[in-house]
Amino acid sequence: MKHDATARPVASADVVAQALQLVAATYRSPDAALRDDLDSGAFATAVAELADVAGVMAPPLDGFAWPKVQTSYVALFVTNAAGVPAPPYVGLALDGELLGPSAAALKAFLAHHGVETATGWHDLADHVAAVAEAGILLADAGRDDAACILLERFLSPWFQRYASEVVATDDSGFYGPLTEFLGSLLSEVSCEAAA
Amino acid sequence: MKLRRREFLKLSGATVGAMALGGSAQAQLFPDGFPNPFRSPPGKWHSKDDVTTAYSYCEICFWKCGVKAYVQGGKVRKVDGYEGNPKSRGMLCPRGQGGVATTYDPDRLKKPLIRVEGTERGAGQYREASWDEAYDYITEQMNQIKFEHGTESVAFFGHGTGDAWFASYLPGAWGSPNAAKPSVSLCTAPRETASQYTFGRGISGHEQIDWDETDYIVLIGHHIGEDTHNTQLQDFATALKRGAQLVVVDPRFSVAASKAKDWLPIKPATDTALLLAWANVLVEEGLYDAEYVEKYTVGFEQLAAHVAQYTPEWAAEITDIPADTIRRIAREMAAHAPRAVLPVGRHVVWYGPDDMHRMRSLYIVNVLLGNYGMPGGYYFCDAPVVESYPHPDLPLSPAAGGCGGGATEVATDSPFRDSVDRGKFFGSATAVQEFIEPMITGQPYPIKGLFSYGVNLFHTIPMVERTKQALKELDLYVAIDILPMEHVMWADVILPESTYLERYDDLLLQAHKTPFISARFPAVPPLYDTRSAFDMAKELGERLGLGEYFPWENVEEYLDRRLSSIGQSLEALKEQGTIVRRGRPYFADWERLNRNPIGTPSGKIEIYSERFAEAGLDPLPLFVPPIEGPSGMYRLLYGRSPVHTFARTHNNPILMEAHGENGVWISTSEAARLGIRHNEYVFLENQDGAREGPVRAYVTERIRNDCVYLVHGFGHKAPLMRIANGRGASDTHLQTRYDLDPVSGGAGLRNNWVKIVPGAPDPQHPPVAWLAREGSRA
Repeated sequence: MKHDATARPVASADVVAQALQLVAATYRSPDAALRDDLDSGAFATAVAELADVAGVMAPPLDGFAWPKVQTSYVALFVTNAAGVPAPPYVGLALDGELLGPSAAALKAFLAHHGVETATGWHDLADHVAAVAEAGILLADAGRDDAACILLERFLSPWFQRYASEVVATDDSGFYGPLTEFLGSLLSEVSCEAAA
Repeated sequence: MKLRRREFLKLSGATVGAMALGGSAQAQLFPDGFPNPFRSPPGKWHSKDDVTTAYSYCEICFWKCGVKAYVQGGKVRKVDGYEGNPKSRGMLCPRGQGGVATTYDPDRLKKPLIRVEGTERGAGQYREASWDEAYDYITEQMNQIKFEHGTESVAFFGHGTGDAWFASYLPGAWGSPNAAKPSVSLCTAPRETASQYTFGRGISGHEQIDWDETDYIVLIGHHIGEDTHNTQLQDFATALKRGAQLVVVDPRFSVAASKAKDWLPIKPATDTALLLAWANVLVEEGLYDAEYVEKYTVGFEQLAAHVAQYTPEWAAEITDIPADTIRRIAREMAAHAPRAVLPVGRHVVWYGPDDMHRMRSLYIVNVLLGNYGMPGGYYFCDAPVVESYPHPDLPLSPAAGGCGGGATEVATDSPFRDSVDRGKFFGSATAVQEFIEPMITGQPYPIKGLFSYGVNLFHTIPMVERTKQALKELDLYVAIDILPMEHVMWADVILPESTYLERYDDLLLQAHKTPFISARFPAVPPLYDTRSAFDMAKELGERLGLGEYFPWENVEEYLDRRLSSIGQSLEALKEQGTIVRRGRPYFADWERLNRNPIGTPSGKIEIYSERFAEAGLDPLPLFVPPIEGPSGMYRLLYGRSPVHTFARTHNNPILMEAHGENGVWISTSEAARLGIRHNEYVFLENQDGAREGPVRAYVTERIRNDCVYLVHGFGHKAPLMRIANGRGASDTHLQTRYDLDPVSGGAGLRNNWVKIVPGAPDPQHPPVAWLAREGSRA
């Protein structure tokens, strides 16, 4: 996936970090932490602030029920009798196969930067949430350049490939609007020039 | 525009523990000497040192070939046959080669799922669950069923290596006789019952034909080359190359028939008549092996009197095979005896009441040729003995039985009720199709819980709509599988199993001409949050208060302890993969040891069965006239594809590239009469109005006018299986009736008829490769 980085506004390190946090929080399995963030309003605030600085319309984040968020997550990303619309694996989006060359490249890249999957993680290392989290770790370690590569070269292609599928098939009122927002955000801004 | 720096709110859950910093971060993004992973140069993708291997045995079909899996970069890249394994000899079929794709199928089940409360079964509304939550849900429901109805009200279905845990061991520990495998009553039951009552031995999972030595082969409805069993096909091809003559009896000109000197296009459902006529010729013309019969059998006199009525002329009227041909083939067989053989097939539940008789007839013709236990005929094979892991006796003996023979009936003084199918047929193994009705009617007592381990309920058990109705009546339905087959998405709890390349399994103790022991070693760690049947059964057993029956620490300790009973170890087997023993294939090998391989009460091959007579059954095989179908309809026959296994492999892009949809075979003359063109899409509609398709018409001279033929396993109705979904027609969905074999419990499936309905739209299937790559955009 080729990007014309120079034609897009360049995001600061903080914006990149916040975008990565939102991606990680959104696409991990919905659990108590996400529910707490939703209930407390922290999630909506973070989205609104990011929308504000990026100049992208914030999605409505109300009117959805928590049980529906859980079932929609399964239906969109895990297992669905009507077909998984958006398998959450960046390598699959890039290569059309699981654990293909892009997943191997990602693995090598993360290993080179000292990042590995934690013991309790029971999914692939190129899961969208895991890649975002790796970016957060790298950004926290001062490796904004590496975090930016994860965002630009791995996460963005996933949104380009699957965001429309999520928007079209989500019935929770949560994942569709949020994916559309994050997809727009990533297509609007660039971070590689800054990195 | 440059975005402003801002202080952002931190999300409490943003750090979810997926990733960790495991080492020091490097100074350079891509330092000197480090290959930029985004610009890998073309060329060799690995060095030899990068590749590791693991021994295993294949699980894509149930021939269980020994394999070596090659791993590079944490991914299984290739699977080859293991040259040191007697069931592969260094070669694999397409399924074995393509099996890797199942592990990396994006549609795989990944995490335990629980059906959302208040949603209907089949609606597919699930939420993720931890293993603890899933186990707790199951154990709570099982204990509730036990409290209300008794342990017997939980049924267990299983197919595959792990069924030893979910269709045998766990039910035995829990206390349910209602455990069944489709590999019995929907596949082998008639041949196993017939073999047990004739020879006192089962056929088991390895058909013991002495291909190396035989000179004359007669296949009856046995589709070698289509039902591809690796070394069986190798041996068959070698025998033909060596000059063995081949006769094929089949309503259809099969692949095997194309290699035969004689193809006898028999009228469906009349095979027993042909076999009895061959027995007649062998006896009447004195062509049988009198010395063998005298030494090894009982009941020949009764047989001689019995088959006198079954002349070739009588059989010709029934079978459509000329009497002269029947006589000629019998004489040719006799001329080559004992190196002439009629091999036993595997899937033998054809017509119901006739099936056990047909298998007994087949064995008896072999016995008249003097080939059982002789070079060129059937050899004896027994599994190597390895002690079980020590554990207390199970409350109930496993009831499902298996390919190797019948199960133990519940003892009369047992506190447990007998299985719900008991009394419907004579045999002792359980019949999976007979478990469905009690789920609906509650008779003779209710079945309220069901585990389905690897059994595709909607592509295996006839009368699919009845099965769906039954599932709706259950209090608990647990599906354990690898892929989201349609029936899986009806479960209350879905437990995702790791694949055969990711897990240990129990030892394979293989009966064979050279008996052997194989182990399965994981080539790679399990992907996603999946587990093995071994681990699931132990965990559930412990939570159900059955921990004493699962005393092992883990699977490695379990296997190592078992192997220690024969002076071996898991570590040693890891380097070797397979341990091969010497066999005792012929009578002479047993007689040298003063032992008798025949396990009947008389100690001889029982041509006439006193036990059947005592039970009020026919002691000699009978021909049961076929059930005739409605006018204007064709008998629906079905068979196998060499690149697919049952309905399991139809989401595998490699195998679907090789065979991506089935077609309905119809004779050229019937197609002309109906105005159907070759490759035109049609519907199939059966005698009860069930409709399948669109499916291509395969117009051919290779089939009789009174039947049509489908390859089994196609016609999936599971959109989640993006490649399999909607391709071709399902024979199972057209099997809205079956006829029970009252002796073995087998369900005769070929008494269903269809009509061809022209005018089906072309479904315009996307290319498999595109589907595999583009997935959900299809």
